[in-house]
Amino acid sequence: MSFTNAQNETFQLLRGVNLDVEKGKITALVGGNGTGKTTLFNIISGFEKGYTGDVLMEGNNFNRMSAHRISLMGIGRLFQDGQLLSGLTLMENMKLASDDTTGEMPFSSLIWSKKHKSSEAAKEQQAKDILVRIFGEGNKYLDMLNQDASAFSYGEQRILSLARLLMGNDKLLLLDEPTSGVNPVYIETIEKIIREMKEQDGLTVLLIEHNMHFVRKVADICTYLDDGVIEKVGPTAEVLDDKNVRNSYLGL
Amino acid sequence: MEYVYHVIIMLNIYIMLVLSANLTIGMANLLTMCQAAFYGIGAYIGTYFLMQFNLPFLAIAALVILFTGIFSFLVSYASVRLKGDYFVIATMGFQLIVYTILYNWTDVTRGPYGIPGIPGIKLFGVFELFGVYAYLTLSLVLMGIIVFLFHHLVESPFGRVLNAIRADEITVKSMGRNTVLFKSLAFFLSAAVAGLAGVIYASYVSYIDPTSFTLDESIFIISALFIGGIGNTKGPVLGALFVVLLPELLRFVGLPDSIAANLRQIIYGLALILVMYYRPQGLWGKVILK
Amino acid sequence: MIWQFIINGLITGILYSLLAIGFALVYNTTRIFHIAAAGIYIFAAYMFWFFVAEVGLPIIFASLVAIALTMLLSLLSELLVYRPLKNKKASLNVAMIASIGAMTVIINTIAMCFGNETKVVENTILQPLTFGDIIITTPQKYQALIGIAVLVAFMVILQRTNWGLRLRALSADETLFETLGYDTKATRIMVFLASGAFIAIASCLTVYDVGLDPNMGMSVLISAVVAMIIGGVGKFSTCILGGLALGVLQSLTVYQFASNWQNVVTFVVLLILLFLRPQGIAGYKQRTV
Repeated sequence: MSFTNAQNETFQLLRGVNLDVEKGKITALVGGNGTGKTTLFNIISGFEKGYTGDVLMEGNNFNRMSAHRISLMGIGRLFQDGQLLSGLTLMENMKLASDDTTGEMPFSSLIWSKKHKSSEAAKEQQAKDILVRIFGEGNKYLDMLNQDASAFSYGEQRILSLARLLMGNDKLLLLDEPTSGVNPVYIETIEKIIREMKEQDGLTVLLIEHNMHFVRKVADICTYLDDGVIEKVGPTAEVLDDKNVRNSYLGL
Repeated sequence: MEYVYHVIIMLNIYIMLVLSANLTIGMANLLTMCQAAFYGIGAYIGTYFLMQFNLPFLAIAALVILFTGIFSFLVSYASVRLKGDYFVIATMGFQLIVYTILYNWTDVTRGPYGIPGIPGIKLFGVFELFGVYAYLTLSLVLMGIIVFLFHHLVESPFGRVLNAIRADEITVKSMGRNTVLFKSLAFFLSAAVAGLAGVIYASYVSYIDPTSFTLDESIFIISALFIGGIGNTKGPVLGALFVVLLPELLRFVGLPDSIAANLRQIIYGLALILVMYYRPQGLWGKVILK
Repeated sequence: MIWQFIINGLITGILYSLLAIGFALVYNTTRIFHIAAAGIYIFAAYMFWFFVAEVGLPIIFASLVAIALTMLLSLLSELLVYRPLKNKKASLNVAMIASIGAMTVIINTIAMCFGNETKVVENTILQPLTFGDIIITTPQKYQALIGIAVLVAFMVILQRTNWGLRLRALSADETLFETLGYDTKATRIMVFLASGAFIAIASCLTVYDVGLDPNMGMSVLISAVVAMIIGGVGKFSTCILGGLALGVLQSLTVYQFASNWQNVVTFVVLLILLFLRPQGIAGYKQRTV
């Protein structure tokens, strides 16, 4: 799977980006603040429409699609600073992340109550399975499924938001700074989850990160974005060791 | 005793109105200030079909739901294009426009003269309802149905999506939900129920004029909502109870009518301020306004 | 003939501008949708009437007393309602609902004390000014002269004085304002006092012309907010632009159709504008996430 976008943007952040994302690999997107990485994510996932160029995935053109349709095409996203949905329980968060929308039209769960019950049960089981897979048997989150989102710390919510993505049938995940602001204790877990996503679930991951250690450990390919264009792309070690990249981004 | 029945009938109507407001305001955090506009549209449309074509109740209800639903698309569209305070003022504008049309389009609505002699609702095309007992039963049944249906919505996956939209619409979109569709459905249902309440009201009091459907009335409905509580079923119902029964209590105490009307508004206003400060989810509500 | 309407519109527009600034002073600095301003407007009107009709003060003194009292009421709304809510970290919408409550309390207290009927301030008919075909009534004369004077003074204060600078800074970024060491609380107090003054001036000038009743506040406030939005949210100079534009628009509607449809035209124009150019004629364009 690959997609290409060549874009210009209303506020002139991206000035001609051509990016091919390789299927089944973890690609990191690095670059200074404000260089347009999140904007790129917004464009890919359909939240930013003010661009010229094309966003293609497996032959499908995303240009005219609305954000939610793009998501249904198999794009999952973790937002910068994204948390669990507040006011909802952990279980409700997980259920919403599922692609199974049975019963979500008004009164449909009243009319087709049997179908609704079985789909809810299936989603609940899937959520529990995911939690066990990531955190191990008998982990504390299994008991906290009915707790409101506010019961979890910032770091926990980041991991859970990441775990939540496994509920949907996605092909490509856009992760925006998954480790930022997170306790180092959790970073290992995040690394493990992302690796599993690639190896066990066959997902393609596009990752925005500022944590270079993390990028080295996790990413197969690294793309360096500077001043609205891609300056360098290639295997991670190669890019991060490149003289120019280290000079302009890392200041070394 | 008949007077008590009258109060109960009005209570049922207001329970429907406040519950309808809860769906958009309480569950999806869409602050509409135009419930009375839909209440009025329902009343006038229902009256029109009742008086012109003498249709049975179910047909009238369907037509009212259809028309208020169509108007609700205007509000839905506004909610997509306008955010925050702009949306609020757009709904106020919609309310004022509806009122102005009801007041000035005298050819159709008879403006400030109102429409008298509205006939009773016909059940199954045969029984024409008149008298307190009939409307008491009808309003209780309808209220019960609406409470049941709306309570279901609160607990249902649909309600879950609305709550999620309130929490973070962008994330919900990124989970593949068409949030515009969900909000439109919420507006539609909210308007439809308000409209139905309007038909019941029109047929019961057999006279309507635009002064029942003003911005003040919308403010009254949302006051009931915020005092009682948002986001669940208990809050709106008890809020309606509070605002409908309070004036009766004042009357009981023996206050002269001239002061009573203003005094109870003062009490509502104070209650609103105090609730927002001490218990912003409302006295019996579940969720706090964002 | 049309010029009469345009002049009328401009003068009404001056009143809208004053009220819009009264609202915007609070809105731009606190971001609260200050619906209670409708109640404050009514309060000013009735205080003015009371001191003229019941106490017998000359118009000038009555208006000054009314303005002073209104400034106090405005300050009370901050001290009793908005500030406590802010300290509780209540959301802006919660503050707006409380504001609605405050408005209801104020208007109904007034109605309870003074009754619901329309009142007038003075009955004497004074000689209007005439410029060719155009007639300017005496109340209009005062509205124009005083209104313009106040607006000009305000713009000067806004641009040239320290206070004006603080006001603009607070409107731009509250956190930064505090970080720089400025006292938000004190500035807010000044803001609410000033807001009360503007609302009172607009109110007195209007009711001197058309009389008063307890329910006129809401529709006048909505027009003022529309004026603010049309002109462009975020700045004060745009309130003047929007106010004048709205005044002329409404007047031309009366000229072309009838006075009943003013509201409809106002809102249709507002909605079209919001959809096409949400920043108003001259406001700030906002970058969305």
